[in-house]
Amino acid sequence: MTSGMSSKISFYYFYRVNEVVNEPVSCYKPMLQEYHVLMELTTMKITVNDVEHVARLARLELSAAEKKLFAEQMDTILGYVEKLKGLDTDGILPTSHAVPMENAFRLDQTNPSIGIEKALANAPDRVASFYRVPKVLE
Amino acid sequence: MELFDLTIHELHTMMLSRRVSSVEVTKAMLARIDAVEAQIGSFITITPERAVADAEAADRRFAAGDADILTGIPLALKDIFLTEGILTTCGSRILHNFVPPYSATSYEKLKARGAVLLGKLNQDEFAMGSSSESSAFGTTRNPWDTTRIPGGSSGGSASAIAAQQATATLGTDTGGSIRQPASHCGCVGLKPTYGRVSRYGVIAYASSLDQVGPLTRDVTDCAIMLGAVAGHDPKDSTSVDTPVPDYTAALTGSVKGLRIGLPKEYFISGLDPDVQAAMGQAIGVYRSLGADFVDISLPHTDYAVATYYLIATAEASSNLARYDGVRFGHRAEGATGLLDMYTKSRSQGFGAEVKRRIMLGTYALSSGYYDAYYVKAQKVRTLIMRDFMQAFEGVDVILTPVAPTPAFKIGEKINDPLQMYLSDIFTIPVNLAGTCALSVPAGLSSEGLPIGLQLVGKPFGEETILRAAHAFEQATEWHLKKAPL
Repeated sequence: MTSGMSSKISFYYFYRVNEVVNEPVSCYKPMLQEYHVLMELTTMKITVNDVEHVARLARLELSAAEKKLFAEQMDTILGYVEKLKGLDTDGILPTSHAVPMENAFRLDQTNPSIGIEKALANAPDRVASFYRVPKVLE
Repeated sequence: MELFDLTIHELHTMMLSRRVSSVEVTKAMLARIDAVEAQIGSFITITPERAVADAEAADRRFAAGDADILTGIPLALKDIFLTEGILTTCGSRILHNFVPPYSATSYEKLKARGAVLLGKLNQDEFAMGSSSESSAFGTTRNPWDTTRIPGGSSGGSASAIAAQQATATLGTDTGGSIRQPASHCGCVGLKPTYGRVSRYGVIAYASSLDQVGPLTRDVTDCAIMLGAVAGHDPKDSTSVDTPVPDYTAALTGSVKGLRIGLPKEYFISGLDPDVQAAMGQAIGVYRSLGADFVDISLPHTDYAVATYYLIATAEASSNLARYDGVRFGHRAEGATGLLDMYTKSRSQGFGAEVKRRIMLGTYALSSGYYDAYYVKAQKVRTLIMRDFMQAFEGVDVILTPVAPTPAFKIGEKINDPLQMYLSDIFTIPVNLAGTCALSVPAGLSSEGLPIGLQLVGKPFGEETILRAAHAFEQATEWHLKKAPL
């Protein structure tokens, strides 16, 4: 992770650091400076290829400009979250839910539902009581 | 005195003694909306016919002696709440045409008590933002200074109170989205404990963090609104089945002997000087009222924003998978197949911030990164929760600023997502811990912008923070200051 820094990176972070110096909101400075020190040691990780891969998984289609911007921004944000890696969490259980809770059971009873017409009222395209979509198989 | 400028409890007293009808109040409010909406932009949808019909029904309830504290009170909802038969967009182009077939439980509860619906309020798209600038339907302006943001994501819910366009509103808070706009617009805003209010019919952003809460003119109204929407809902299995107290009964005016914690990590050097000064004054007020202060530490505070942006985006990427153009919302024209239709509909329908968060969340959950990012963040969340639980062994309430600065300028942070995310540094830890907190007006900056005070309570300790906020309100006049509109 700390091996190698391309020229592209140092240029990029020069720009960023200058931006921070001009930043009027002073209370963010310590956090951002710490992050920039960290980032100067870190290789730029998110590439346009990574962005394309994630966009495919997320069913999103991005323009060339969006891909470039997202690569930079995701890199900045993921660089910031790297700080978690410095925290020892051995033996700590992950929390998925804020309030301790047992399984929520209910009686297996049917209740009235909203009905087909109401459920289909927002359909972009429908035939009889079905949603119509483009061909799934060629 | 103007009818649009009164609190719920003031209007109720007047309606009960027949000095004014709900129709009169509602019409005054609709006229006020007409007069200032072009300057502020609080609403996505205004429902005047519905409001007048609701008000007429409310007046019939008063005539029949069947009125309740919320009967006839004109309210508005963040556009994240499903309202049967009324357009609900969540601030997104992908839902530009969505008319829900059912309503959120919280709205059903307000409706059952005879409240009047004025309309649906602007917000950041899918509640993702701290400025309300990411809405697909335009930016809402801060009534105190229209060159500034109202805060977000419940920006319209706060600006509508400050601009006197609604008596009370509902918002949602995932990382500060009720408290931060309440602070920036000078109103009271409360994020209840996770599980206190049903999330049924509230469009999901990050399900383990999202919570519904009120924004109001004063603490008494806040207690009234919370009592109205709180409680277990069989339709939301994460809502908790503990009794709902009468929150207004908790407003005794006394904080004598209350132990208030001051976390050193929240009073960092470089905090905006006006915010710092307001906190100092507030501490002085509480001391004079007999509260005791305890220095505490929440040692993992510095990790909260990073933790939040992994957990929230991961949950968002999963929740927003449902927007595919099949059953509702925007569907792209001219797709070559099903997959192409999903991809085109989503790409056309979502704005930049939503795409960015879906991308981040998808990355954090993707093969090879799941443990390093998502599971790691869940473990740090455990540490952040422990910080609060340990602190609450020695204190009843924790006092902090809501935001590091007063409202920033429109456009100031829109191109720098990380800067925008860091503006939520003081509100995010509360969502991760799942506990309750509120913002109450506590000062004005040198530029005349409102500054909010955050009071954090123990899980299901809403009565204590409301009592503490009410005592502060009784001793100060910040809540009476009006936006110069």
